[in-house]
Amino acid sequence: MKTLLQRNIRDRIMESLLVLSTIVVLLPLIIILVHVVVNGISALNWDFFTQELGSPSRAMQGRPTGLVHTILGTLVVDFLALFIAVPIGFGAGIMLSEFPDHKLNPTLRVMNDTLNGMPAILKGLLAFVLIVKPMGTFSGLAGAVALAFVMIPIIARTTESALMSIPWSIREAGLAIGLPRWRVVLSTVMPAARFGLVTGTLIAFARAAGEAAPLLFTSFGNNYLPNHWLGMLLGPVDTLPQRLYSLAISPYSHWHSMGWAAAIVLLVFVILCFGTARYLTRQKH
Amino acid sequence: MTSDSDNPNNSSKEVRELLRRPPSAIYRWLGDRIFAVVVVLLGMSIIALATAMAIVLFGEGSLALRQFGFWDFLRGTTWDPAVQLVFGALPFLFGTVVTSVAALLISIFPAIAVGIFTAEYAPRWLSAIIDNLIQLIAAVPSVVIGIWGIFVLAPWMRDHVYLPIFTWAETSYPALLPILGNPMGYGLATATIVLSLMIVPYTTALTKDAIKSVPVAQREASSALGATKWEVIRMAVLPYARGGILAGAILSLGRAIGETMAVAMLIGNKNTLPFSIFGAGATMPSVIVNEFREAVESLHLSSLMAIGFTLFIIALIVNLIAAYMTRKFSIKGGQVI
Amino acid sequence: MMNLIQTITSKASSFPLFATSESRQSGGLAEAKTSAGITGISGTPGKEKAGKQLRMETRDLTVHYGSTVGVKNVSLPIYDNQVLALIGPSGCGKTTYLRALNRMHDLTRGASVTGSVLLDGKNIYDSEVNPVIIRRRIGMVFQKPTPFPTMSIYDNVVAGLKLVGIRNTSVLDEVCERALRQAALFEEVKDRLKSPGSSLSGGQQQRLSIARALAVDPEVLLMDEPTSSLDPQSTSRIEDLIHELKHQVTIVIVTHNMQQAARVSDNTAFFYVGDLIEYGPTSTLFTKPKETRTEEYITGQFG
Repeated sequence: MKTLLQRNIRDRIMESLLVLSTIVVLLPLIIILVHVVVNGISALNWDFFTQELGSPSRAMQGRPTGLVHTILGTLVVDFLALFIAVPIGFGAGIMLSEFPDHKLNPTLRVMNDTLNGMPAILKGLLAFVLIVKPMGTFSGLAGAVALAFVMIPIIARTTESALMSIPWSIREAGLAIGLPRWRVVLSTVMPAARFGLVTGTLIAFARAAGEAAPLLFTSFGNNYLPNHWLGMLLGPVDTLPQRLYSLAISPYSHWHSMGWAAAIVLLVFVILCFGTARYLTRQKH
Repeated sequence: MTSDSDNPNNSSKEVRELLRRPPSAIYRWLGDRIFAVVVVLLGMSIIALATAMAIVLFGEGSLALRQFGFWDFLRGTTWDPAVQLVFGALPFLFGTVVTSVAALLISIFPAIAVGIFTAEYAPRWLSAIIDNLIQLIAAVPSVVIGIWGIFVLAPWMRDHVYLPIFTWAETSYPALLPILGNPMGYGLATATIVLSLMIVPYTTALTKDAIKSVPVAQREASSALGATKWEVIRMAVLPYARGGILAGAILSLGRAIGETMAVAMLIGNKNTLPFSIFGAGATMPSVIVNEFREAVESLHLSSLMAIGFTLFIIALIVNLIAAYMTRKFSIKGGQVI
Repeated sequence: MMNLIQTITSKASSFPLFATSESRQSGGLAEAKTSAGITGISGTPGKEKAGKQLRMETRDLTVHYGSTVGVKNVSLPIYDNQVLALIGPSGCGKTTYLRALNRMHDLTRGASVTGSVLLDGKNIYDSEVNPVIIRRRIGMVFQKPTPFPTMSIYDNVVAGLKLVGIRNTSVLDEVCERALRQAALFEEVKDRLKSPGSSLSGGQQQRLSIARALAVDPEVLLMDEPTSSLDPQSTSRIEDLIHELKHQVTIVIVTHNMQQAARVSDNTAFFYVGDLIEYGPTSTLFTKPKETRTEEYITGQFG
């Protein structure tokens, strides 16, 4: 048996170790954030938001370059992905929570978790085979489908738990006044769960918006703004995470600083989505 | 009695008739029928999607798998898309396993420690801040960590860690040099360090949830014996939360296996064994990222798809184990944003 | 013990026959008019001039939850414009029985219903009968107030109309006012119909739930312990309401409170472990129960 003093000293040591570990884990995060801001802020100028990237020589000759085509492409691809993913994710979530006795539900749950746990790059390969190969070209549409594959399982899962959190009595009250189930779900349960639904969608959106891997072989990337908005859907299009990757591994230092600036934009975008989601979660309680 | 038309408690005749009229079919049975069909179809599309992923990856990879045979493909050490057109997955399998397991080993104790600290020691406000920051680690896009790794971490590690160790080994233990490898900064070690940071949130989240689900009575029993705070955690809390922590670790491993961009940007990309600690290597996701866009030979493309299929199988197994564990130990939550 | 029973029954019979609305407002628990009440006991349950008219009836109604039986072989008449109270200790099957009356079990996992529930002579469990129509004719109010969380008071009341495509605002306005008046809530909320339903007090929310159920003009209203989560004052308001409402709708009420059953109902059915033990006019059941178990229950020996 150890003395009380020894035990208390051990207690203090363990507590210090826990604090130390926390600092060790959080320090790199802070360092990363600081570096991103410090290195990227100088390239984050007016040109960045208004000019196309163009060829490497354009930057070397000192002509204005920017990522306007990337930002527009990201918005188009991300929102198209959301447009594809929300109906499927909501539908599956409704199936799991509102038809709890459905025979396919256990399978659906396992499949959804499986899909959720799959590396995003495999979703890119799937979209490549399903969309890029038949179309014969890389396209914003293929990129959106790949990102939708990332979003769908997250939305389905969060939708299920958001709807489940609404007491069953609300549904019974709706049925008891002679409403059909679809009306009960769409007009009473889903509005009641709106915070949860929006939160889940935002999380899915933010998670997909940060992914580069599924976009490399689907929307591919493009140094210029397509001539027509349809070109964004039917031809190769630039997106922030994929462009950031290309800039970072390029040999041009001007592009490197543009990559840091792209990192700031991407980080702000993603953190805004997650922050809103967390804020909404807190509002709910 | 019910016919008093001036009684405010009774509806006018027209309204009463309107109310008695059955609503249109869409509000009686048709709407529910359509609703159920649409919802189930949407749900089934997820099942179809997951199935399609397995089928498509296997189908696209079948050319390579037939050519080399599944096991020989996994065991093959040569990956030569240029001259011999021989493809074996072992270097990438090895790279994935080594980086993920090493990252898990590096991160697991700090990650658990953060979970314990926020659940047991930190005051509420501090716990909330740490929680948000940990979630922020998961939120930072992989490519952002990648660009930081390329321009900041890798050069710094080369100058301040790898080179000193390398020069020390050069003079003292030259036998170590092949194991250490060329300290250029981009390699297995750097990729592993970045990976270990990226998977922390998953272990931490599940550790915290598992600790929270420990019954109060469990704690009080040891507190009553006069145990110190750490002894309570050690004797009462951790044994109870063991399952959840393990589930979190496995979930983290799954994330590490699938992590793509940061690793592809930092691992140096070398397709042939042997790998060394500081030297370049490759993982399954990284080789797909690096070669898929340039692959022209159909056998090369098919081999990359076959690597994708292998990755699918491994991720599936790891995720099923993690899902089984979370269910078995009935961990609530565990959701990382 | 006999004293208690007399008090209960006196209250029960006094309200519908003799109490004025003022005296009821002043206190639903008033102990007045005992002598008058006793004369009331002698009356038969069907006090309407037209005599008893059968509105609903269950025949051999049995509800299973998986392998366990909720209620078995219950046959009961439900008369027009009368209040039927279902009493019994918790878990006796009274709520299970009530929920079978408007096919609420359709959505309960593993629940199966056998036997028949006749509404105007037609079995509501027949395959061609649409549960949506049935629930519009047989409304229900639950234990806890359940205002739809995102809707205004107005939208809550007219939900049963608006959400099935009735958009005519003059109709909705009329129905809203009528239903709120029926539920004795109109005066309290008429100036804030647009504020959320969840902003009301518990008692008001329950009356809002009643108004919402009445808005679709049901013929029968099922009430599942409607006052169990309310304070005494709100409870007495709801009880008053039941007296008013029975002139317009047939009411079946589940209650765990025997005094309440005695106060509000014309007929009472006593359930015990899934069986219907005894049914009869409320006054008779509470004063001269035939079954010993009924007597034991109403005298408070168990439950």
